[in-house]
Amino acid sequence: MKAFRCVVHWLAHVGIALAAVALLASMVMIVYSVVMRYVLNQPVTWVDELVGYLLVACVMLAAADALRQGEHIAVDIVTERLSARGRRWTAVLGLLAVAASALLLAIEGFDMVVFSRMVGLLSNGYLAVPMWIPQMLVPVGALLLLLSAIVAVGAAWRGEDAAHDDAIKPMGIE
Amino acid sequence: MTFALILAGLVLVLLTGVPVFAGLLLFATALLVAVEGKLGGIGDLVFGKLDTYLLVSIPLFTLMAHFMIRGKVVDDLFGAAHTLLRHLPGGMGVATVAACTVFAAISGSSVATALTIGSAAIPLMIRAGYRPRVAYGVVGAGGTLGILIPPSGPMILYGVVSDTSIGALFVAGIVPGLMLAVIFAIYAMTSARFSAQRVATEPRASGLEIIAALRRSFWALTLPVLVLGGMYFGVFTATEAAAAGAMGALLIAVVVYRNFGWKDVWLSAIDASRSSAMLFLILAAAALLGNVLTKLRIPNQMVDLVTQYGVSQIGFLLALMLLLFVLGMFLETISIILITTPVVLPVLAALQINPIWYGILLAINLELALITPPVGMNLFAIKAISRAPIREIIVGVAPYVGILLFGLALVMAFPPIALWLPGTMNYK
Repeated sequence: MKAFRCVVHWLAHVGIALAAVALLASMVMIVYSVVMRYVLNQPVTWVDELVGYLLVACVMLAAADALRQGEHIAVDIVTERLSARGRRWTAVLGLLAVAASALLLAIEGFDMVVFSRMVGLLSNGYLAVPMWIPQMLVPVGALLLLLSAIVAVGAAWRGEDAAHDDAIKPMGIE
Repeated sequence: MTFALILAGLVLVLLTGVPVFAGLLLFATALLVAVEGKLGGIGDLVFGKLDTYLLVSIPLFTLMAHFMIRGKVVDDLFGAAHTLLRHLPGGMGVATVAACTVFAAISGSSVATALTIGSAAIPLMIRAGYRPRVAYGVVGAGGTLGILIPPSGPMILYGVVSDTSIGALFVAGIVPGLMLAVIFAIYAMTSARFSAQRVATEPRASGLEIIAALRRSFWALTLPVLVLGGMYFGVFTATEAAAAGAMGALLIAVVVYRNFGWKDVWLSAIDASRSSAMLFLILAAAALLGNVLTKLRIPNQMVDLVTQYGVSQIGFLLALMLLLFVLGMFLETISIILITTPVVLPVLAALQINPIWYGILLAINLELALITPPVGMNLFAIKAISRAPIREIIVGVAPYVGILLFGLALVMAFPPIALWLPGTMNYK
């Protein structure tokens, strides 16, 4: 069980690292395309499409780590008034809901990938990549989130890790 | 009515404390199965929603704010504003509003604004003899300017969902944002003058002090000019402005402030990715709900209802504002935008209500949502900084709820407050 937790944490780390790289790469590529357009008068055709895929990568691969850091937004005015036991129960139920959602996304995402491969779907843009490649990010990220959620359910069940709610995360967009 | 039932059911689900994205996704999936009797198409919907070039602007603007904060470029915004404004009655309150206004033009988030400015301003104000609730009120309210003054994460979300120009929305937010900042400042001054517990005004800053203060905050002021100017004059799209702003912030932190290493770049990118992950999963889940609502023909029913009863523009808007206000007490801003916009849009079109104007009205309403109990993210942010009882914070913020409602009424009565500036824009 402990080994499983370590592996999942490590995978979540890899996921968030790839997500951060995707975001920084998007920044650099967009600036590059602006410079090419204005300075060299040569618009870059493939940046918009690639940046879209990188955003999917950024979101799906960061989701598991965001869960681990307790960053998923929740409304806790009711639950914070419950007894310790009630809070533990609602925490477990909330995480089970995350696991169920992740499972749903993994299955539906996998179906999408299988279908795209079967019909040989290509992207509409200049890149004309087989769509299943970027689409793969959805089931992979969802699977990662599922594993993270399972670990978190275990922790919440044992009553660990209910403290993170106290800290307000500074950089959402609200 | 079906929509009212669905809305009530959803609020109940979210009040159980389930993460919003999971609650929305499972709720929408259950509805989908109830309507269609089967699953399917969820993968495509999620991928399609996330694969959106425009949305990249949200993590990029977050990244820009992170670079500025970690690079300590905005560290002394409150100090600089205090130097310039301290001779006014309630000078520290006015300085807080001014610092929030500038920070709002760098960050697209109200909570980040309240946290950053508040952690500098609140202790200093209390030490100087202001009543704590006065400090909480002005920081909480000043912080809400973060989502009205561009850049603004919630406005990008609204723009993407409603297919409205984000550049135009941003530019439309400037005048109402500055107007509210001025009203906040006037309130801070008059309430300080008539307060039972008066704080002595401080001496005016000398010329040298003013120059030093302006030098300290100069670089923080250059980025809003680059970002907003670039969009106003049609040089950048919103996404390009965000990327250029982030790159500019990185350059300022590295070249001018010289205290920025690879580690800071890396941690900023990780934080920005994390917060966008949770945000965009909510977006994808809300898109599924929107899809189901459309299958249930709820947007059409809303239009039918409105035309059938001959509801006027202003009547509809008033009812809608009331609904948004009530939702704002219980939900956070992102869910409110994503749940209501798809249903409201067709009605806006039917009644010929300008979607940019509505976007600004929505943003002011969301500012209210941030400071109205029981769920108000800025209230929680101030609690996190000050460890004060939430009741004290609510009392401090209460007068500003009134001011925001007044501002909302002004923009409703005089649409040019929002629409004049984007009308002069060089559209792209």
